[in-house]
This record gives sequence, C-alpha cells and structure tokens, in this order.
Amino acid sequence: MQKIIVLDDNEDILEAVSLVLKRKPLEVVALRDPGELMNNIPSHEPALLLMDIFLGKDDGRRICRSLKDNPSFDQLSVVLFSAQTYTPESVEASGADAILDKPFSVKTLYKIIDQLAISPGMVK
Amino acid sequence: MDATDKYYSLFNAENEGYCVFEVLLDEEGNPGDLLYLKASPAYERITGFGAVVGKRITAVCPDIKPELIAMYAKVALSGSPARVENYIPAANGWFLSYVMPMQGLQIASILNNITEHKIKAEKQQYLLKLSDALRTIADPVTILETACRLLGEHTGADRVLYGDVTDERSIAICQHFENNVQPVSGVFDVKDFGEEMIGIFKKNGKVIVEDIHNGPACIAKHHAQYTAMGIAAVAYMGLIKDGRWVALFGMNHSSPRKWSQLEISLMEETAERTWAAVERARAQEDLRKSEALLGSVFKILPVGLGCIDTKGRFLLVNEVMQRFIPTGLMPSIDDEREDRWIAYRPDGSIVPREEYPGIRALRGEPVMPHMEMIFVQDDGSRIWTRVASLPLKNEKGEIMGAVVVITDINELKALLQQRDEFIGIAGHELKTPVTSMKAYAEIVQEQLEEIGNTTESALVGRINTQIDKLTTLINHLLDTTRISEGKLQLNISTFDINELLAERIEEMRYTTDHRFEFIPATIPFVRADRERISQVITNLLSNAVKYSPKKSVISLSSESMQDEVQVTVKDRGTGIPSAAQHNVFERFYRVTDAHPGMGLGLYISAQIIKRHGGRIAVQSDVAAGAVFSFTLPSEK
Repeated sequence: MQKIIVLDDNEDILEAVSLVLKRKPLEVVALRDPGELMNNIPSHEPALLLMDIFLGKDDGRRICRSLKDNPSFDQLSVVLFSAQTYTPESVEASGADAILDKPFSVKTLYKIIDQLAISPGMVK
Repeated sequence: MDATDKYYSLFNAENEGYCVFEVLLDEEGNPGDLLYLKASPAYERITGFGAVVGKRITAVCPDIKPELIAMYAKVALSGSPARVENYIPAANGWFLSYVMPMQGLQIASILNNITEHKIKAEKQQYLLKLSDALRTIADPVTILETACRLLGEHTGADRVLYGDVTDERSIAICQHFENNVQPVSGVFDVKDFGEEMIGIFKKNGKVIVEDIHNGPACIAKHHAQYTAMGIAAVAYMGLIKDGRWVALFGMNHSSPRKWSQLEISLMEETAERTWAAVERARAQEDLRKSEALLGSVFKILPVGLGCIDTKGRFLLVNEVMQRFIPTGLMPSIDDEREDRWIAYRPDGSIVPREEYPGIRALRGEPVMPHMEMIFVQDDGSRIWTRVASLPLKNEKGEIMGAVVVITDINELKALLQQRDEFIGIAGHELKTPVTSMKAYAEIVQEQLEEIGNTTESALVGRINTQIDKLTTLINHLLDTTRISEGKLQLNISTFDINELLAERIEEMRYTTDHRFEFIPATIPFVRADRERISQVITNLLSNAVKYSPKKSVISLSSESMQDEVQVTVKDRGTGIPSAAQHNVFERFYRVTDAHPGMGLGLYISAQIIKRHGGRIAVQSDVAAGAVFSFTLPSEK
C-alpha cells in the first residue's frame, strides 16, 4: 500500500486529515515534529508528503526545498498546505508540487493526491 | 462831484463797502473814537449796521477793540495806509480793511467781507489737525475723547459731546470735553431729549439755540433741566448713516452764546470725521479680535496649519506645522527636502511631486478630505500623515494661495495596524478548526450518501455550505487586512476574460435558479490576476443573485474600450438608492441589513480593481436593478 506522510504541528488537523486519507487505500504516517521527518522518509519511503507551511520554528517551504535539492528524495511529491498567507513566488521557489489552502475540500485533496501519486487511479 | 467823490465811486462795487471816518481825539489829544462821515450802501449792507453816518463807531460796534481805533488813528496821524483783518462781533463776520489817510484827521476805509474765505481757511486748518490726531488712534473711546477735546478747544465751547445711538431708544454719551461744567457721561433715554428734538435728529437736522430761555419750543420746554445741568446754549445735530440715526453730536455752553456759522460747520465736520474714525477703529478692533481668535485657534489646533502664497512659500505656519515645514517651502518645490515626503497611489505606484496637495491647491484643485503621505523625520523614522489643501481665491476667483493642513496620524495608523494584525491572527486561527470541521462534515456527508440516507446527507450538505460561507467570510476579513497593509499581491498574467466569465457563470448556475445571459464581445486579453478577478466576478454575481428575485435574469457583457476591457453585470433586483451608491465600495458599508455579508465583498472587489489600475462603478435605479461594471487594462 502506498504511504503518505502528513506533517502538521496541529493535532486536530493531523487527526482530521489522517481520517480523510485513511478512507482511501493509503497508509498514513502522521507526524507533528518536523525533526522526525528525516528519519521517517527513508524508513517509510512514502509516495507523497503533505506538509504544513508554518511549523512553528520551521518552514515547510524550506524543508521542501532541501528535499527537492537532495538527489535521494527528489522523486518524492510534496504538497504544501497552509492556513496562513504566503506569496505564490515563495511556493514556486520551494519546488512544491502543489499548494492547498486551508480549509480545503476533501474532493480537492483526493484530486491532488490522485494526480501526484505514483500509480494513477490508485485513489478514488 | 468833487475829486474825492470820484475816487470813492471807484470802490462803489457790490461787495466792497467804503466809509470815511474822522478820528476823534480826547481831551489829552489821544484817539478815542471814530466818527462816520460817509458810508456807501454796500458798506451798510455787508456789515449789517444800517445807517451809520453821523454815528460813532463805539456806538455802532460796542465790542470794538481800542487797539483797532488806535490803528485807524495812526493812519491819519502818520499818513501811511494800513491793511487789517479782524473779526467784528457786531457784524458776525471777518473783514479785510484797507485804511488810507485823507486830509487832516479823516481816513477812508475800504471794507471786504472775508468771512467765507476765513471760515474756509480756518476750517481747513482745524480739520487737518483733527484728521492727523484721529488717524493714529486705535481705541474708539480715545477717538471720541480727542475729537470732542479738539472741537472744544477750538470753539471755546464749555462742553462737547458725542452720543452713540445704540438702539433708537437710548443714547450712550460716550465721552465729552468739559470746561468747568458738570459731566454728562452715561446712558440716557432718548425721550429725555423730547419728541420734537428726536424728530429733528432723525431727519439729519440741527438744533441751534443761543439761549435756552429764548429758544424754540422743543428746547424751551426743557429749559429747567438744561439750567439744572448748567447749560445755557446748545448746538446739536443728528448723524444719519444708511438711513439710520446713529449718533448725536453737539456743543453746550454755560452762558448764552451765538454759535457762528464756522462753529456749526466745524461741528458737522467733526461729527462726520469722528463717526468715520470710530467706525474704522471698531472695524479694526473687530478684525483684531477675529485675528486674535483665529490666532488662538491656529495655535491650539493639534494639526499643522499653514498658508502658502502662489509661489508655494509659507506665509503663516503654526508650531505643529514647523515640524513638517522647517524651510518654509512647500515640499513639492523644496529640492532639499524632496525625499522627506512619499505618497502611494492605490495601485502602489509613487505619487509624483506635481500631484502633492500644495501644488494641486495652487492649480485650483482642493485635496479634500486628504492624501495620506509618509513623512520622513530628521532621525530617518517614518510617520504617517494626512495632508489636505484648499485653494484661497479672491472675489474675482483668482488663486491667491492655499491653506494646507497636515495631521500626524501615526498613532491612528499604529492602532489600525494592530487591528489588522489582530484580524489577521484571529482569521488564521479560525481556519484551523474550520479545516477539521469541513473534513469531518464532508466525510459524514459522503458516508450518508453511500448508505443512501439522502435526508440526512442533505442536512450535512447544509452544514458544509455554511462552513464554506464561514470560510469566505474569514477570507474576506483577511483580504481587508491585506489591502489595508498594502499586501494584496497580484499575479499578473494575460488571459481571456470572456472565458473566465463563462466559467464563473457555469459555477454559479448550480447554486441558484436565476437565469444568466452573457453577451461576450470580441475583445483583447486582459492583463490581470486571474484568481483575484475571478473573486471579483464571483462577488458581483453572488450580489446580483442575493439582491434580485428568484428566476430573474442576470445579464453579463464584455466590451473593448481604448486600452481597456469593460465587464458589466446587470441584475433586475431592488437596486441601490442613489444616495448610497457612492459608498457601496467602502469598507463595512452595507445597503440594507436584509442581506448580510455585502460590505466586505464590494470593498475587496473595488480594491482589487483599483490595484490593477482599473475602475469600478455602479449605476442603479431603485426598482430597475443595479448595474455594476469594472475595467481592466488590456494586453497591448
């Protein structure tokens, strides 16, 4: 089963998003601490990373950039999501594959995952 | 006819009288009197003495001065002619005499009445003195005092008074000159003067009385009062200005007195000049008072206030203004301080110096209520100000300068910023629970649909609709703060607005049973932020839906205009009253309370269009519906 890592520092969002994703044939790894990300990517080999932009001290865009710059992880699809204001340029510069504004529709989330996940039609 | 008669006939003119005297000597041989030997009819007429031949001069003119008799006698004794000017009380006039010796103690005198000339000269001299004295006095009371004193000194009248007729019922005797008589200052009832006198004064007339006991009835009636005040002779006049009785001016004397023509004429002139001087002084006093008032207002105002001339130089600044304008030049012409002022247009571009409020006012364009400008202080820190200006025009409409007002709104700006920051934080905070709510509600709805529970799935669907509305409201709130912080970002691209309009209409069709009519024109692509313009169109469409009856038609059209494209949205709804049309685009404004949520949407739409350099407008007839239109720059 394909894996998705969800990284958000808010417990409620993490819980809700995990529930939404688990309705599809996906294995969800929910992380609250950005520090845990680097260990979990190699161990889980996820197909997609859904990550909040504003993570306390960390910034999802910066993390995304470093992943995209790392040849070991550059195949990983990254979707950023945020409740905060951001400039489109900063998202473009991060190399993220998609951006989702909170709150978002479940259908939109499925559609994005569908488009970016490795096997098309996997999530429906 | 003998030789002397022939000689006399030379002088037998209408206005020149001649007479022949014989000098009479007393027992000691000194000249004591003059005896009239001959007098021409003109002599008798101009002096008013009547038949004089055979009479002594001391009998004809009892007041004649002995020196004058001595002077005449000297002509006879010395044989040298003389010329003399003197006032003859008995004739009530000034006379110029040429006195010539004849044989023995006889002398001839040719007499001219120079009263008029004398009066004129004396009057001129007096009036010059009066004018000089009054010109420099600023205080009305001092003017009255001076005028009364000068007339009193000049005429020798015991009292001179000026009464201000304040309300036709009372006279305030402001100031008077007194020469050993009782003062009469105070407020008097006009009735004290008697009806007849008042009638005369109101007709600009005069009351001249030599002796109150023998005066006209109007004054004789009151003789007891005058006597009690120590007054025996009066000369009064009323002063009329613009048809109104404004003052009483007059002279009193403690003993009976014959007022001369000159004295009356001087009283008239003094009254006129005094009134004019008092009026001038009062006007100046009023001006000084209003200037003082204005000065206090100027000083106390917490805003910078200044007046500039047509060249942009400050003529007048208050203390607060000195902080902003230390060089006394308006910033747009002050090269040294050019970089101290910055202003931005709604689209974020910098306002050029030619558009600064001072220079605009000098072109005749008021900048009201204000332009927000950043002022860079000496330490480099920036503060927000509001600058307003108003052209000052003369009565011909020519621009004489301008008034400029600068208000420091830095504190206000800081508060507004705090408010926007608060809305920003609160808005973003709200989004997190809304995200979870939406996720759960959608899953529940999906699950209910899966098991075929349509009733309950529809209910949850409504929850979802409300969550979407809540999201829209939060986004609107956040947009307003972005706009006020100038952080509304635009991602400009070129796109086909017809396509966007069709897309938005399709989206809207599912949510309402209104009918949509779209007439697209062949138009160039626009240069704009597609997302933001989509937001504007959605806002205009949802307003049209909200404010017009179900199933009514909403018409959209696009057209090309010069460098722009115009989009129009027309509904058949309740319309917007014309009084409300100008502020529908303002923050938090709402036409009726019946449809909440309109306030922010139109404000944001207007701001988005303005940031693009476009225009947004509304036209509406109540009952005919509303027509909203906006323009966007087209691709070149």
